[in-house]
Amino acid sequence: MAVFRTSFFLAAVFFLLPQVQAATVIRPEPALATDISALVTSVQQQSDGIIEGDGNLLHMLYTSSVQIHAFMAPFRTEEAYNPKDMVRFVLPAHAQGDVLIDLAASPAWSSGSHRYFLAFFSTSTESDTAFHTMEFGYSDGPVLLGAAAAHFVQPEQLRFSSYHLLSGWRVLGMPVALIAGLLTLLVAAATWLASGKTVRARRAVSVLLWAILLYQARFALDLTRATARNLSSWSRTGVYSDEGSVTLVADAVREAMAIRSTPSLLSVCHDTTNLYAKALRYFLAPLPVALHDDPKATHVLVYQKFLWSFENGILTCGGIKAPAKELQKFPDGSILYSLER
Amino acid sequence: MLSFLAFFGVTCLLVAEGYLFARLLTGGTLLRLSLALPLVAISNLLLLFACTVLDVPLSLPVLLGSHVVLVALAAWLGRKRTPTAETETTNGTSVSLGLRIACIVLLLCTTGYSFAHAVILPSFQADSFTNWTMRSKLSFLDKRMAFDATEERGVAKPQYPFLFHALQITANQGQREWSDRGANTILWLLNMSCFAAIFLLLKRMMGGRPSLLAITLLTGIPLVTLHFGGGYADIHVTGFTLLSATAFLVAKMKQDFRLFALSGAMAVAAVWTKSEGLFLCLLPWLALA
Repeated sequence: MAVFRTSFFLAAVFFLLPQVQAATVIRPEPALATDISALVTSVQQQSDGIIEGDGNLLHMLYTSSVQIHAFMAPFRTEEAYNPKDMVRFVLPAHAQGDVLIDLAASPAWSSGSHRYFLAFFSTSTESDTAFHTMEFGYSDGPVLLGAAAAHFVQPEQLRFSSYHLLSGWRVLGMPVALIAGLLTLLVAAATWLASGKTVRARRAVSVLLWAILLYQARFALDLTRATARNLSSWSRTGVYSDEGSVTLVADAVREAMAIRSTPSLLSVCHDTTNLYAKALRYFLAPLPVALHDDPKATHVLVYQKFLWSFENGILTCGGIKAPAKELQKFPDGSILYSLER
Repeated sequence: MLSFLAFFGVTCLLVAEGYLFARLLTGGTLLRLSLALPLVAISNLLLLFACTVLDVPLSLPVLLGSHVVLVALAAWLGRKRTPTAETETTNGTSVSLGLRIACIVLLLCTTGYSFAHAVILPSFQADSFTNWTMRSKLSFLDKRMAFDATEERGVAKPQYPFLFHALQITANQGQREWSDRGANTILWLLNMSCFAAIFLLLKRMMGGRPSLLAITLLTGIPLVTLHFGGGYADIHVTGFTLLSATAFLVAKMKQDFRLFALSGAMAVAAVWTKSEGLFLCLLPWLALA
């Protein structure tokens, strides 16, 4: 694998500029809204770091002969960011790239100085990417109001694999449940005071009920949209949400193992959480599945793995280096190999 | 098609058994139907527990044969007089038409989401793969409850109570291989039954419209709604606990000993689903009773 040589400085600190003038405005999308598995598996180069600054725009001047995939998230604490706050965008190949990244696309964005995690990925082995400037700044107009409105209509990021990761609807980094809850209590109290004795309890309770139902309706809307997306994706490609192609992979592995006369072992070679490998272990049980790269494997599934190779019939992935045959590629970017030994 | 027919047949047998047991406790066809799966979850658990203690394999003839015997037993017990349908409270608090429409729309959204994720789409919940459905699948393949103490096969939770697993294992009888959809569908039906029963019991206590509002507010809590997608046992503990509490309140209001028995049974079911049921449901129930 080639070594990444962009001039991206780790922990670089940039400060507010008075006004930023740039050619192209890029509005990032929530990183969890789309499946990035295929991108991760095909990554050839990567770099990441931390930048800090104050503003709703990040001005970048860069040079690159290939397109660059970028991921960015504001830190919530000194050490951690929430993946649900992460946004992604693509920097097009350009000899003199000049872009403004709309940072307010992240639901955790608010005014003031923030530290951001920033990562760049390239699926090409070309290594001429260079960043000349990264500066924070504010756009014209009512920035906070615009960001609040954008956050208000942004769908909540749902993780169907782990329900408890529900972090709630946020505007400018603040939980709406808290703000709306306090406002509702104030309105209910005002209704109580302004109404006659006989109807005050009924009216105040009505205010509370409607507020709760409205909040639940907003959640139901996001959930219904996500359900429609999952069903549509599942019926078209056999892939849904963060599940990827697990069931398709399980069918292919079962078939591949059935034709071997000796005992088989599937090893999942990855750089992510082992949820996908555990899902495969469930669907394939009682066939054995190693959650990480295992040198004793007879089959290997490469999934969300950085820096691996299959060259001249040799698969190199983590601790595995062996002659192999590619059996199948899946819609989520994972690739199944049979090791020849 | 054969897989569906096998699942349908087993589910019908379980519902018939649960219905006959519910006939001993309460009147009203709809309430009995909605109580069928929560009640049969307990008898099925006791059956699998007995098989485990006696080291009898969890096979189709054993499990379905035993359920046929239980159906006959429940029918025989209910051959005499059974409770008649209760009259419902009709003078409950009024609820505006707008609120009622909002409630129905929200309930439809929750049902649509849960049906899609629990019945149509395959499992993809972290807890399913490490604790819950994985243990059911291994037990089904072994034909005995899995008590693995190491994670070699993917699950190491020998201390978990097994009402959840028991229902998934029985629902899979007649399948040539493990049916992920069958395992999730039976639990989805259990969830729907539990919350339908809560609604019907509340209806007896305070009338239809306030009950509709109550059940909507409850199932519309975002985290509760998400859990209707299946894969975790928390929603079943919640369902059994709330059903126990509702039956307790109605029993107290109507001085109905049979509903006290139902409430107690649901408290037991909560504990046998997840150990948290002990603190959330059984201990408070014992203190109040």
